[in-house]
Amino acid sequence: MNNEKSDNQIVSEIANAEYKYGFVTDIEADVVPKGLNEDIIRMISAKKEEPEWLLEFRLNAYRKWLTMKEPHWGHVDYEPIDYQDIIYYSAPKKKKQTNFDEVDPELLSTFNKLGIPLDEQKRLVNSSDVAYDAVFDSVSVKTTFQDTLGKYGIIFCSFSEAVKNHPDLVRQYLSTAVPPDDNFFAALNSAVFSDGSFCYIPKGVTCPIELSTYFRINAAQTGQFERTLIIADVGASVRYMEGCTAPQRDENQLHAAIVEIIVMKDAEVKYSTVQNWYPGDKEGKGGIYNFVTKRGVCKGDNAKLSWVQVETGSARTWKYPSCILQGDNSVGEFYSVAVTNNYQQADTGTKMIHIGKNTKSTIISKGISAGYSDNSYRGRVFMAKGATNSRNYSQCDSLLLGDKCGAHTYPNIQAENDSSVIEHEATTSRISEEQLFYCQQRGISIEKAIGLIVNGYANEVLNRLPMEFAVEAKKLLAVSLEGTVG
Amino acid sequence: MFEINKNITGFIEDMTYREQPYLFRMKRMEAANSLRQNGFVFQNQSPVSVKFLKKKFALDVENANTDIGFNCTLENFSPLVYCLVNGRNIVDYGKSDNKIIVENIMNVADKVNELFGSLCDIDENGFYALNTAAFTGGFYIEVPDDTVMELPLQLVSVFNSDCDSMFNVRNLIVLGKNSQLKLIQCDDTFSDHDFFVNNLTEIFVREDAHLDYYKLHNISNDSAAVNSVFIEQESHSVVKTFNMELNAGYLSGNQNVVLGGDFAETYAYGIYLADREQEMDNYVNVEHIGTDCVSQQIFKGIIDDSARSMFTGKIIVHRDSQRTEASQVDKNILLTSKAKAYAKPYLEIYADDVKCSHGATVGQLDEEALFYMQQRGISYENARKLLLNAFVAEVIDKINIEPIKMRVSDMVKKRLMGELTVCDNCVLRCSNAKRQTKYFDNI
Amino acid sequence: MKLLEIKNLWVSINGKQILKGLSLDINAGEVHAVMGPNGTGKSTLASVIAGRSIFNIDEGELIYKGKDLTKLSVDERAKEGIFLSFQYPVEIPGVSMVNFMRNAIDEKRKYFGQDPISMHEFINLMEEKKRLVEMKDTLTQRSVNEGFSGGEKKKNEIFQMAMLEPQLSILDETDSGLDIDALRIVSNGVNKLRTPDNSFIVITHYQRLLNYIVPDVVHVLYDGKIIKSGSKELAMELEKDGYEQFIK
Repeated sequence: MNNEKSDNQIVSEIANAEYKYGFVTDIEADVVPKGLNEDIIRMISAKKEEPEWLLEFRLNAYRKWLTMKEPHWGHVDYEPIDYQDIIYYSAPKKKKQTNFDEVDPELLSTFNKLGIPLDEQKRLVNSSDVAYDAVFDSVSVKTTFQDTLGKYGIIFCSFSEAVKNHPDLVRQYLSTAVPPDDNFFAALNSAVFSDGSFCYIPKGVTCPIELSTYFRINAAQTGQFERTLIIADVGASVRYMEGCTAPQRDENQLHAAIVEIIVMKDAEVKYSTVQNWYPGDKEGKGGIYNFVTKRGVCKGDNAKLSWVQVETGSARTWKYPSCILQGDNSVGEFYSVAVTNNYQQADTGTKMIHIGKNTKSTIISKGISAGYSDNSYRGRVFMAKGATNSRNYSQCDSLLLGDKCGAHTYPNIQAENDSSVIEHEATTSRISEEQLFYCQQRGISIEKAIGLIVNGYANEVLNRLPMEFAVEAKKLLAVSLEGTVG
Repeated sequence: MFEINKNITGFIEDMTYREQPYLFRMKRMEAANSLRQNGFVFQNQSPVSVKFLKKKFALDVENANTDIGFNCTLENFSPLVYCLVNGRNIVDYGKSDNKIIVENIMNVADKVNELFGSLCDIDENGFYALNTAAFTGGFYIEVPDDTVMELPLQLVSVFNSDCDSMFNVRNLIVLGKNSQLKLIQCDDTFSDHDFFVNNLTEIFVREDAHLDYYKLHNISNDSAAVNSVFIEQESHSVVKTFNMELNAGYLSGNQNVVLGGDFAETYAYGIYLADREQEMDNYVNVEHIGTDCVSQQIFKGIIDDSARSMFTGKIIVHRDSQRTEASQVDKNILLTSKAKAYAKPYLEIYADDVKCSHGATVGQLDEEALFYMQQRGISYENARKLLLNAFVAEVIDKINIEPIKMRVSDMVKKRLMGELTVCDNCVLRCSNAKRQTKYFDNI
Repeated sequence: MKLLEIKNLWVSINGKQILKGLSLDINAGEVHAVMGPNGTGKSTLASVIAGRSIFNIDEGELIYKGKDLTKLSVDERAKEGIFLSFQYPVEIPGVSMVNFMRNAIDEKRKYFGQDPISMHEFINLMEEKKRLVEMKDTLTQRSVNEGFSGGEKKKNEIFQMAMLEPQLSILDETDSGLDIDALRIVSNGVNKLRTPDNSFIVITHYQRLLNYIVPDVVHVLYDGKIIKSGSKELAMELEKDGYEQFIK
């Protein structure tokens, strides 16, 4: 029973894969006291020198949050979160420095270690460059290629900067996709969000390079509540990437972010995420609670919004990047690979809300469960009365590695007009003994065979990622699942 | 908290005080307590369903006329027939077969002691609690071990009242080891009044037993029916259920199957045809506990006018249920811009050696097929009818009693043409012919 | 030189005895045909040589190149030069043929301490071997066996055999489901790979394949044992008069 033994070995190797980004940066931080109340919110707002209207926005959201209940309909269990035991703001202290733009070398080296170059060369950009907004705990430490992008009229900066320099744009679009009282975690974020990225692509402009936000949680006992707002004006187009990591700690840390995307007529946004928050250790201790709200509105006709996500990290995930297809002929896409291992639990999926005529959406979700984890797809497809001739196609597949994990599918289909078509398909399977035998018979070792088959299974989604991300994602998939596949 | 009518609570109170076996009194009191504490637990509330629940019905209809002269005239079909009148009295239409036991559940408390209420959780659904607290009678069927019933058994519930009435009927069926039964059940109204029928049936299928269970729903547009069926299957048992939902103002089917033994198989098939303001909800929950079991669900619906359908399908595969094969399909066709279809096909899988799949679609008739048929000289109307019939044929073809298949097929055809759907020559007025107006006739 | 020795092999699956004391010697450069009715253990023999773990070896020896085969895992056997052309090749969605073959070749090279194959060399090799089995260009771009027709799958098996250059190839009913043209192409492919060092076990129902791949020895497998061995004429006899003549 050679194979079976190896099978078990694989499963144990899978469970033993290491998290590579678990280091801590030793840096002095400016923190607010633990806990949440109106004073804390005023303090955060004051630290960021915010205008009155934004403070009001925060306080309103906070008051709404107080009346709301934490949602527990997801297939995720966790110890109750003590919201008074979280630090809501932590920023690396600026050393007394002469040049305002200069970034603390400690931070530069941290991001370098994570593969995020913040030292931009003074040269012409080429299309393989990526502009980064690097967020460290509660603040953005640096946004690269700002000047270059400025020449195209593109605004790419931290959220705080945007509030200072482009208040009208922020005010016009803030919370138009995710209202402050949308859900419990969105309300919390609206009250305490510290920083994040802001991006505006003007009419008719195609962003020449990829834009990216990289989130790093460093401080202990801190929550991260960033907020990203992306606006693609009429005929504009942009490709956006998001990455994230956190140190290895025994405690759980809360990450409750909001991403809002506004896509105007004929505009196109592609938002890719490789989510690699610390997932906790083999016993399920520690890790990030990733409870985020991501939503985009295709406001104008022919708008297109595409979400691509590779979810490998976080102890708990609760996230449903959604598209509101308001403009006629608008298109929404959701491509997802979610991997859970050890004691991770992920409840993720999407909502496609069809409002405009001839709108189209595609959902491709590939879940991979290993160890003792639970992996759920949850989705909603809604065809409103006026969404005539609209189409949705959903395919949600689950792959189980090992017999202690779970894979679940919870689609919700709602059709309220008679000219639309919704199709949903789902399968649950494991890697068959025949497939493994076939690969091995060709001389491919069982570890490699599993890697090949898993990557093949997820290929449809991985192919949608930008090149450099795809490489990263394939590596991550390999790391989270077996450690040997190149 | 959803509250039910005062007259219903009053009736429940009354039922607990009547003279009856200890078992039933205890169960009624438990259920009444659950209703008091949790209110009427009611998922998928909709204006239509609430309208029926808020409506005032008489609950205590006695003095039923048992002489209804029922005679089913299907060719080549002569089942054993038992009628239950107003959920109280059983009438035996001869041909009784001493191989099986058919009794009123009210008289067999001692036999059902261990089984009664063991499959349904009264806190889960208000209709379960209501039925347990207020049932007035129902069938107890027992097929002894190794007994193969050659003739199908037809159970007819007849409701005949001179006012709008609600009935709570409770059935319990036991198929002994290695036994076989084909069961046909229909609920029929025998007067022009409106009815609300709340059926709850618990079925125990022992090792190697086979059950085919046909349920025909064909009540008036002003009547409502809730049918909750709980099935527990032991090893190597095979159950096929057929839900034919042809007509009803509000219809809610709850089917819960627990595959407790290994190598058991369960097949749940259904069609639902809803028009006007009708609402048809189907909930199918299949739980795989044993290993090597097979389950299949196929439901098809055609929704016309302002009607609404809701399908919730669940497959739960427990940790040790290896080598499970489970599939689930729900397909809907919407015929008008006011019709609505909702589907929630859920999978919860905890075992790794499984083959599970589900699919759900909402759409229309294939325009290309329509065009193709028209191009060959078939009228648009006719082409639509042909396609609609073809759409439900996949389910009807699964029926394995030929006369029933013919009859259902015929009734579906007529239904889709807007004609009356009563059986020819039958004295019953199932779909309340008097008030039946022609719908589905725009197709 | 003996390439494979099978001595008194007893094999069962789920308690059911399939092979009952089978013995077989194969020398380098020989082609052996194994014939017999359905369910006599032909495919089991192929799977056991390749090392499929669902079968239990209850007794007997499997010696390949002087080594105890049972000590080697499936992929080690493959790397050592055992190739099984499957009767029903499995589909592996999302894994391209190119990627699949590259992994197989590189793992084998690594096993023998060689560097990975260069892309250039690999592409040339693929082109050469594709011509050998007259395989369509597009097939290698597709996922392994996914959406291949029956004939394409069998060609693909022979293509892989050519790529991996095995010493012992087992063709498990490679002729089943092939039309005469495909059979000719597949047989040609096999014949081109025949060398004084390479051996073949050809498992088949029908004598027809043996017109194209001419065997040195023909064995009749019945009820888990070889009950008769002979020259290629034995296959003709079988075709004409059936197996019954050999069954006691």
